[in-house]
Amino acid sequence: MTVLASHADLSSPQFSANQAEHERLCADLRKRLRRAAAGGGPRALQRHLRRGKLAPRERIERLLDPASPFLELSPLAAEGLYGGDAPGAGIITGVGLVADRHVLVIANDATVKGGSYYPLTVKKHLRAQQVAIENRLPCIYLVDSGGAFLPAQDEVFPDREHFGRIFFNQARMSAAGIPQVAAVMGSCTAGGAYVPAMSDETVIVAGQGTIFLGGPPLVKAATGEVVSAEELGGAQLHAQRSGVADHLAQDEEHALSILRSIVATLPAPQSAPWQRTASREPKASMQTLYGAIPPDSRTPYDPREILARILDASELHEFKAQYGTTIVCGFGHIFGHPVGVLANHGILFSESALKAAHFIEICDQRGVPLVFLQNISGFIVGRTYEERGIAKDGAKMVAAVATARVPKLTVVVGGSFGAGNYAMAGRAYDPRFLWMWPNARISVMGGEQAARVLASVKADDSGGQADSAGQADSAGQADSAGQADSAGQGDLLREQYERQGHPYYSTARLWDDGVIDPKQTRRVLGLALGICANAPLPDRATTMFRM
Amino acid sequence: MFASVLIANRGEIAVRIARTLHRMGIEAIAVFSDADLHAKHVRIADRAIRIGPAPASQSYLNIERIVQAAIHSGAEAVHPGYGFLSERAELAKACMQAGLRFVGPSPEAIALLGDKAAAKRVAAAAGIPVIEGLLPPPPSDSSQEPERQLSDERIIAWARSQPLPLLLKAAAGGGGRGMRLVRELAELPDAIAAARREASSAFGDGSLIVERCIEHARHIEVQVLADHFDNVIHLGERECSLQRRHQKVIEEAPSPIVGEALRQRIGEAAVALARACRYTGAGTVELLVERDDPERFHFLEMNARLQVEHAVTEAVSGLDLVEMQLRVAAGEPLPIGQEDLRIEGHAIEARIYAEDPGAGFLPSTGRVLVYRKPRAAAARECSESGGEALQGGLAPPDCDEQPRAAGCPRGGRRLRLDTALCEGDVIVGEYDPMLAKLIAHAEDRSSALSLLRSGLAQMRVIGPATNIPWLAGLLAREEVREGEIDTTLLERISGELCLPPADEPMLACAALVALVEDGRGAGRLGSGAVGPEGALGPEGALGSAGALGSAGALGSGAAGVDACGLDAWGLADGWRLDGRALARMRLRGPSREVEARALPLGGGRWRIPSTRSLAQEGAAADDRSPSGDSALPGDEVPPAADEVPPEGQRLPEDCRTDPRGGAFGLEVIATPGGSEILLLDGGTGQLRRIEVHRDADALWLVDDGTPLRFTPTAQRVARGAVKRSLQAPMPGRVLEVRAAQGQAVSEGQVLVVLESMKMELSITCPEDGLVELVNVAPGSQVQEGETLLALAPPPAGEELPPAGEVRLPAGEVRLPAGEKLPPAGEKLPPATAEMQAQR
Repeated sequence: MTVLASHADLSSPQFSANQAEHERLCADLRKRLRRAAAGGGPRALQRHLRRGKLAPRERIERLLDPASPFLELSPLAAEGLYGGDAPGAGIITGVGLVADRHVLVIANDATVKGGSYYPLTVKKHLRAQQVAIENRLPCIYLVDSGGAFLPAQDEVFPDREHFGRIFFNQARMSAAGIPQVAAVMGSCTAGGAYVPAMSDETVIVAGQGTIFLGGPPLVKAATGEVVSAEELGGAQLHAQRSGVADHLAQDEEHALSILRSIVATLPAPQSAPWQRTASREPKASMQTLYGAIPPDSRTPYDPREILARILDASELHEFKAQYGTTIVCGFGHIFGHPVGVLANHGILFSESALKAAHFIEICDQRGVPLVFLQNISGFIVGRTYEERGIAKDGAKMVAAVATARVPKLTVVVGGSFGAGNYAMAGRAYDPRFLWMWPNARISVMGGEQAARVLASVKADDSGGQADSAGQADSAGQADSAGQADSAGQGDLLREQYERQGHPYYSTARLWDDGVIDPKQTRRVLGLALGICANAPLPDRATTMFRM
Repeated sequence: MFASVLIANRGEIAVRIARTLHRMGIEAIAVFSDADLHAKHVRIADRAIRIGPAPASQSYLNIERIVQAAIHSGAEAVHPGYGFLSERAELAKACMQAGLRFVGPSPEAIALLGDKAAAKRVAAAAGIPVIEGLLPPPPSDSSQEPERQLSDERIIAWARSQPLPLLLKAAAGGGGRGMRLVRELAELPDAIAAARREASSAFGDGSLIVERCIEHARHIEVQVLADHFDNVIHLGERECSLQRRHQKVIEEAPSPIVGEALRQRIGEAAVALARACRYTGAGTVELLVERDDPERFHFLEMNARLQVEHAVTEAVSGLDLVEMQLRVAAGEPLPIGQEDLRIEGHAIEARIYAEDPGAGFLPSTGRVLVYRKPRAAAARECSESGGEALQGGLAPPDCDEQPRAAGCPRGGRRLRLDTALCEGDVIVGEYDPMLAKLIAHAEDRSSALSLLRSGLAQMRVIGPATNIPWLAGLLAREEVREGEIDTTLLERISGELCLPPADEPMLACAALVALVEDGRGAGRLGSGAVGPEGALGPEGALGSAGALGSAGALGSGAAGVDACGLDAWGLADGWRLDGRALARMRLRGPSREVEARALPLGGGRWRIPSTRSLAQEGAAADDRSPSGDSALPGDEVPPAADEVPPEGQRLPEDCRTDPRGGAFGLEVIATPGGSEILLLDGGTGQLRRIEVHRDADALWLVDDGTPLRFTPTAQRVARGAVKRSLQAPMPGRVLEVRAAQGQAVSEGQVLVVLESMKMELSITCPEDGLVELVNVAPGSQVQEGETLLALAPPPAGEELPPAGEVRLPAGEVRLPAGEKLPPAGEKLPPATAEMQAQR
């Protein structure tokens, strides 16, 4: 067991520069979070409050245990999309404690376009449900939504991962013994009516909640019947006559206390699949993290600087420290939870990939959760390496990551490029959670590299077929831009890669679960491990490793 | 001297008597009721005998059982203590008949002094001034048959000739029962009737006496001792003018207004009276002294027993009055003469009651969670030397369990605590609510007062409400410090002493911190029983586990904590991606329900709104936004100066500052053991220490000696928010309609009775309201779901008259007449009831 120490030189200009840049990035992050948290803005909020409703975040605060942490998911969903109309995609999701147990909360924000489901709202809702499924978290739906955003119906309604999947998930979770509880605090129209109707227990707020398949306008259009919303699907109707709701709350606070009461009666979760030890603070100070880590992913640094600040007592039992040194593997603890960490320290070579695959297998064997600190530009390329079979060695690592039964937690702390993304548990590899630092970048390759690849392909094969998948789109652009200015094309491409590789571009589209302040990494991982401990581990299944 | 004595009493006085018995090498035999099996007086006794069930009438007031107990135990004497049977001539007589010595005066003397009228006559005959009044004819009169009592007419006729006000008193009683002050003649008939009623129920005798009322009087009493050899001495006076409804609260000796000459006069008068009624043992002659002319005193009554407040006399005289009683009862002469009496220093006693001054002094019951005596003071005082040794080793019992060492000087400052209280005791309503007496003895009155105050401040009784903080407030009053007291002072100033602590809402916020820091099971709090109908019982608020404190949460599936301590979830710090959230919890405090708020700063430090800012907030409650949450930057994320919390996310003014600036507001700092929290005022730098105690379902904060109880509650539901209609749960016939349109009805009241499936079904009122509509009449056939009647919310601010009906839960099935009813209190699910009905 090694106690990691930081080797950062606090007096170096590099340290100050790093620190200043991270501070700038985090201030920007906070500004974005605040803006998104304000939902539809002050005027929409005032309108909402005048109806006697609680602000959506206030609902969550009052639902959760006092002083409970709340790990919000994808708070910057839809950032910069839909003309800025849907901060947070109009829905708030996250994990908190209610009656001392983890619950997943999904709350519509009616201050954002009446809580309508934009395409990304659906995606965020489904992602939250996925977190609930994987970690067996009871779901609490605070429903206040007008349903699908009709102008975008083609992106909301028909596909597999669209609106209907919400109810499919509810039924499947309920079947799997994951409680589904809803409180209807506003309208629940059409498809939305199924959220409470598909829940195990449903609360409805008198004079405020309504549930119906077709609202008054639709009813009038369809049958000519004129009926008020309250008569058609009000709280009393559903609590006393239709039985669609189970608990009649007199106001929102009452509804929230009923929800708490419901959660208090749920059976306890199974015991954690791993043994915790007492949590110990890292010996290295989180306060020097910013200065110790170069924000530019192209500047190499030792990931032990991060590990020293996130592992309990800064202790790492390193695995194969002398072999495949471009990836750091080892055992440690975070808030007492055992973890196996994998952190990039350069490009992945065959040895690194084999070492990582071996380590993942050990962790999977022992039931130790995996933490990936991703800062990877990819696998090594070149004739020598291809000849040595880097592809099959890389495949072993990817296969090990893909099949590990233990929870995987991924933090993109720098670059996330190419197949390195796959090997280090990128989104496609179903890590239980994935976060990005504000300085991170994600794309199939770096913008600079893409521009050079493109230029090189162009030069080799002007007018010919572009066979690199990564540049298919850009090639089309390049054509239309004219061949005269290949330097200009390169700039365009660089700009495109920089823009699309930006963490806010990613988080807006839910490629991750959120952008986090680097200083929050230890806490966020600790919270996530606590959440992961709710689900038992499945049986181990080993894939075929190409030897 | 006796070999064994049975103590026919309980509680503090039984313990106090046993202590003297033990010191004298006499076996102490306790009696107890079922309520006192574990009581201290039983534990410290050499033997104990059960005398009956909890009610005093079947145990401590049962002469037969007590005498039997004495006979069976082989006791040679019975000490009655005070209260209970202490002034019942029948007990003294029964003891004599059973061959037991009664530690007290003769039955004749008891009977004589127990009759107010007779006592007054004897006093007058002995030359003691008596208050002008009207007495019933003496029993020896030939005309005793028709006029044993004063008739209403005689009282009224006499009253016409007297200056008002007048005082009616029960001839047979004491303690203020059956007593009425009459200021207007017109009130007199009603007052007579009321006094008779009270006297009859309290003493089984409705006869009254009436006398002029001396207002602005001081209550001064003289302790006398008499033996069987005609030795009668007095031990000086006690002043007991601080009374609440004729219950003494503070007693002292000597009186600040009695000089040597007056002491001699009243002492001689008391001795004369004792002689006149052939008194033996310890007794007390109570006098009323006119406030404005102390030389004018009047006989009030003579108590034929040891008084509660005897300890102050023991302190200043250095005598053990219980020992004196025992010696006299055993036939020994008094060991001292009048000339040996030396009054030294000043002693003050405070009576500590289990009562709630904030709730009209209602007796308070329940388990004593924390009991701490002012040990430090006692130990310190006793270790001081100087002053002279006690004469004859007559050491009164020391501060509770630390008997005063022989030779411990009488001089110097000393606290004595007489009590039977133990931590974990359950205070029941059956007996006297007095828990303890704290007696301070010092060289002069002001030293004794400050010693008593500091003793009270150190003393903790947490659980049932006590008057300790109220007493501390009383002792701090200028009137009390100056000795400007009379028997009406407490009535005049009591309102000012009962104010709820102004800091309660702020302390509720501190309680929230203590709860969260303490029990990682805090999440279970307030997630409790709220029924779907919003039926939230007053105590239904705690969660199922109800466990405050971490122990309850460990290993019970609570997230954030396990055997290895806290994980990232257990750090209850309101962590958010963009800062920290305000923690909130509804807490019911002693006087109100508060939504407590506190902002976690991390590492056990929190910020709470100060009393001042809460008050400002209350004043601005009109524009109170329902949204008060805000995430303030915590340690991990420094605050961004350019960012203002979004609209509607407001905090109290002094919470809104930079958490590390500390310029405003209060910082709460949890201490590692959790036994106290610190309140640091960011503005003044003042530090306050708040003791924290935990109960199964509540948290106690002790601020300035006052324990405040906070219980987490679920959301209190606004009643009457929903208009309701009551529908027939099944088809049937209406038997009765017990409500009319416009009638105010209360929750649980039966409104309609249906007959259905051969059963009677009571439709009860779900919550208080007004009957808006009655849709059915007796005989109506109704279908399932048919509306029977509709209710509207009660008019705001109006108290509804109590319902005269037996309360039944809604939908409970009552069986038709002739069927056997289920036992009371047992609720049957309809299906079960149905089966029974058809059997």
